[in-house]
Amino acid sequence: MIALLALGVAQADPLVDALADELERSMGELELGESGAPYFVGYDLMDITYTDMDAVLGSVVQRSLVPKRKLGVSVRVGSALLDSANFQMTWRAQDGHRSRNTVLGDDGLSLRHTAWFETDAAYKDAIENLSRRVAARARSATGGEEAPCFGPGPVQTSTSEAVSPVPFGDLEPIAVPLSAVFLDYPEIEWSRVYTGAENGRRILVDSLGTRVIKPEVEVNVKVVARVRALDGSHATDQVSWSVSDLKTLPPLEEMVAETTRMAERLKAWKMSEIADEDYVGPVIFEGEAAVELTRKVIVPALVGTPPPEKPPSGSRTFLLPGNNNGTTMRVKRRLMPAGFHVRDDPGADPTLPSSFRFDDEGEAAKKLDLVVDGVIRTHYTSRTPSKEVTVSNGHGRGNPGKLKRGAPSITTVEVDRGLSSKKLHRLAIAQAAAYELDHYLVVRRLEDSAAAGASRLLIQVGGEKAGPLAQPIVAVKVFADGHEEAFRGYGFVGVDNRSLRDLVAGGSRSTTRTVRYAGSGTTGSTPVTLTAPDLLFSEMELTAGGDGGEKPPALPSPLASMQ
Amino acid sequence: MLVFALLCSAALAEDPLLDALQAELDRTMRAYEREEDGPYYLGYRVLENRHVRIGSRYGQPEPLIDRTSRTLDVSARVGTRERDSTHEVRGESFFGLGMHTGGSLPLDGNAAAIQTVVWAATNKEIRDAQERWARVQTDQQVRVEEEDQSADFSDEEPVVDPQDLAMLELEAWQETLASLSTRLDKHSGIVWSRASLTADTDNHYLVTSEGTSLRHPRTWYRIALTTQARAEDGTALNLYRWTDVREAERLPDRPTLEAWADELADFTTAVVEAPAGEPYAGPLILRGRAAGVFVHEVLGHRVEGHRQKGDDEGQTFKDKIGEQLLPPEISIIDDPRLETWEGFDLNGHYAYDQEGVPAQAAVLVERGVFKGFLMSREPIEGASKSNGHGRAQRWRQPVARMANTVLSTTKPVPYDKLRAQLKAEAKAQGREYGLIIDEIAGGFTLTGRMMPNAFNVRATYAWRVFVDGRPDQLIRGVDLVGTPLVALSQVVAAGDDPGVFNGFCGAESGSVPNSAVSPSLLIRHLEVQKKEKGSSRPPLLPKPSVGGDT
Repeated sequence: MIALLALGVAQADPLVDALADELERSMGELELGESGAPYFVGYDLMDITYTDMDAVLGSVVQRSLVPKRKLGVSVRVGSALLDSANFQMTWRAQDGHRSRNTVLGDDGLSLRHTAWFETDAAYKDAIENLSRRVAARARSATGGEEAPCFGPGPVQTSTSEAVSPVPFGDLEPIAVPLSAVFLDYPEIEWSRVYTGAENGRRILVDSLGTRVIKPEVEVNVKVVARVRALDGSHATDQVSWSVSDLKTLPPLEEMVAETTRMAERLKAWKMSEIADEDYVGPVIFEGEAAVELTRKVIVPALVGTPPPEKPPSGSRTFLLPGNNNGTTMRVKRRLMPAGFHVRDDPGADPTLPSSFRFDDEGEAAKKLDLVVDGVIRTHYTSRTPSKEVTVSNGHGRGNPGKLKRGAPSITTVEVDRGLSSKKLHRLAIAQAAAYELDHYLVVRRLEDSAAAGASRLLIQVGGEKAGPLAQPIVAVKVFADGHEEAFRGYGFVGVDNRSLRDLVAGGSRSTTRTVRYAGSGTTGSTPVTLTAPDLLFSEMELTAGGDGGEKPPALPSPLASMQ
Repeated sequence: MLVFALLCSAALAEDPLLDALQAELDRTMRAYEREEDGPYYLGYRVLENRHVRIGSRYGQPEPLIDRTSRTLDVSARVGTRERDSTHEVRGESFFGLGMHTGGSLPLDGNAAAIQTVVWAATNKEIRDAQERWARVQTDQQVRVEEEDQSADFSDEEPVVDPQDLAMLELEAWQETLASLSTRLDKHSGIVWSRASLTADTDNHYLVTSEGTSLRHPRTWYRIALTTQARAEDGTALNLYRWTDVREAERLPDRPTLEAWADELADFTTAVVEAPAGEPYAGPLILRGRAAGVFVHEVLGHRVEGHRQKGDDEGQTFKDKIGEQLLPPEISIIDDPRLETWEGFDLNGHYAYDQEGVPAQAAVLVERGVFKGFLMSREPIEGASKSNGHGRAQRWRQPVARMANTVLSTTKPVPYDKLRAQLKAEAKAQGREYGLIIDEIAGGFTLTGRMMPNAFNVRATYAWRVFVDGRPDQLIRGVDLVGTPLVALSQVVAAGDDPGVFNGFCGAESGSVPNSAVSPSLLIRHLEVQKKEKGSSRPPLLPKPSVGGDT
């Protein structure tokens, strides 16, 4: 009864009606020769206003306010057991997912026009891609994957109001003072503050009967700065805040203080000694470094959507770059030692931008016990499921017009018996003895490699892909008496999900950050909230030495003479 | 000149951006003045731009685009004017050549922020120039002597001229665009259409170590109508109608635009149903706008000064000064100072080029005789000075480029007579028909030695004019191709109907606005080839607005 009522409300929306009408026409009439009609058509309308403002050294350098309406179309041909989606695309062949910016206003006919045009193209793409998949499987010795191609859950209907855009005037009082912090730091070669808000709604309509309108809310503030040492090595650091409402940002003084701490950290990094010998031994990831390790190593191992199926080796198909193989581990495999758990609860804190009731395919979001006592029990799964988790658990995320992949929302790494800092220290010193060391290494911050690229696209929307860990920005050797010596120039060697078996203990203190996660990089990035305790590894290898970059500027910064 | 400079310096002092640029430039040049490999020239170009686009499809508004930016472009030269770091290094990769360091500047007058951004970019640009200078010196020692030993950078008078800043004027155009887009969508064969208005307001700044200090504005508006259709053979047809003006008040009125929309929609349907053209060699007429693009591609790019210098360049016209290229009644100039031509605004107008040299008229062809080249500050043999054609988009090294290229005739032939001449020529050549190329979408040309030294003028559609008096036949899917010297030698006569093509031209220094003006040209013999076509079927279902409602 509730569902029926919700359906009625959702259908009162002229845009929902328009999409439903075009969907019905496509499902009923779209058929090309012997290729058959689509068995699934889905529309994903992102109706959002993007507000951006960037500032440098106390001044605005860029601002834009763009209302945007982007329609994503998903067409599948074949059957749920063998269809056209998630087969490796080429430069010319798409897999039945398309998108196009469409007009504003409530005129349904105009929206239908875009839906009609893109559905037609996506349907033809899907037919070609299924044919390529069938041909590739015929050539393959194993006959291809056994996993099903499509695993939707129960049909959902829901509606909610759009969220109003954030005006420039609300971002400037944040961006400008944060950027002005760096006026006092001539040592910092480059800095920029990125602020942005994405507010509106998302409409999901598909041939299964899904009719979901959900709010889209995200406000991001990111402060990025770069410093260069005399030997040419450079480090890029960032602090960021990601919330669902400007009102939930910390007080400005607190943000300024954290930005100042980052500036001081970079200044200290520049003056710190460069590590002159490689390191093998125990390492503690503290605070944000533990969160970053979770994002880069733990989360990717739990993504259930398989990477795009490839033709067998020997095929002359020229594949698109960027579709990496992923690092998903199978259910029932050990990821971490006993006593460690990983859970995800999309509804844990509805005020976070990473929280949702329905995922980006309109599936009801489910709470997951991903790792129990170190062993993988389930995956983050979309409607394109894994072999072992064959039905979506409401974690399909991605941009309109892209295949949605399993992704985290609010994920927490837990440990049964978290140790205090003192106990963690004692345990690490004990572990160091096995390596004939009188110290161990603590990593407190890692460079944000997206920020290091200094590209707005990467920084603001690109998020962080799965991949190697970036260099530590704060790495200290800690000795038995507790004193610390800071070093720079370390780089990790071969850290992946197998390294998690060297986890010895977790701390009683946990750190939470909302960051962006881009998964395999083919679906766009989404906000995720990750919580992790400090993590002690019995062994990790780091190489020493700078990155051999360009020497510092010949002239001092003009800021030096203006202070 | 000195008095003028002093008077202007008072006005310049009120611009905090110019002040900050000058301060950082002075600080840098002072720091390097005793360094052996310091820059002998440093220039800061800033483009302050507001870009606005409003559009409509199917009667509904598209999202507004409204961006404001201030971008910095730093140019540093190490060495001497005779030989410097910008000199060609033979055999070096094309990629990265002529690129400048840039950055985003604050939109306000915050001197500390401006100077810090400029400082970081200057450091990189000077390092790039120093590194490249080392390679230039080695290249000069290792490889054979170059044919053209002219200098790398001409000596020009510095200019100080702070003009008024441009302001963007926005009109309430959304309703008009909605009406136009509805008219464009009226036929079932049109699968996509748009009416849009784009406006750019630029303020160009230039401060150099030679003493130049400029600030000059540019405004540009384009109203454009676009339709897309797909023929049964898979050809994707994109038809446009647009006009460029410098002030919003000069945009066409609504009745004119509505007539354009109706014509374009009707014509799109006609073109999509027209037969595809066949390869052809014979006489043809290029109507005014198409003739302008023909001149641009065939002659214009080949008379850009720097192309006479590169060992890899075709240098088609290098030794042709004084030779008769065209009939004696035809002349061609390129004059950026021209603001309009017979009531049409010219897109290639400017007061100063991107190297700070005042715009000047360059005579290319006089009474059919080739006279000279378009020049930037890169000298060539026989031309040591710029004629104000050094152009580039941001972050690129300026090179000689066209601005307003104008072909004129002292013996204009009425169009009807020109058409009669076409039929006569076709008959004399034993052809069933001659061709009229009415509308073009642009073109391109290859000027190097490695590839055929050829051009392609991309026709939107053409007409077959039969010698036996049958009605003209519309065709689609053809391009005009040829080689420059042969093509020019085949120009027979020019009409009395000058047309203006406003567009943007892309080359190694990026995309720059320009105009091509020409009356219709009768060409005795030219080749036409089939245009590439797509392979996608037209949409399977009718569009929702034409019987698609469920």
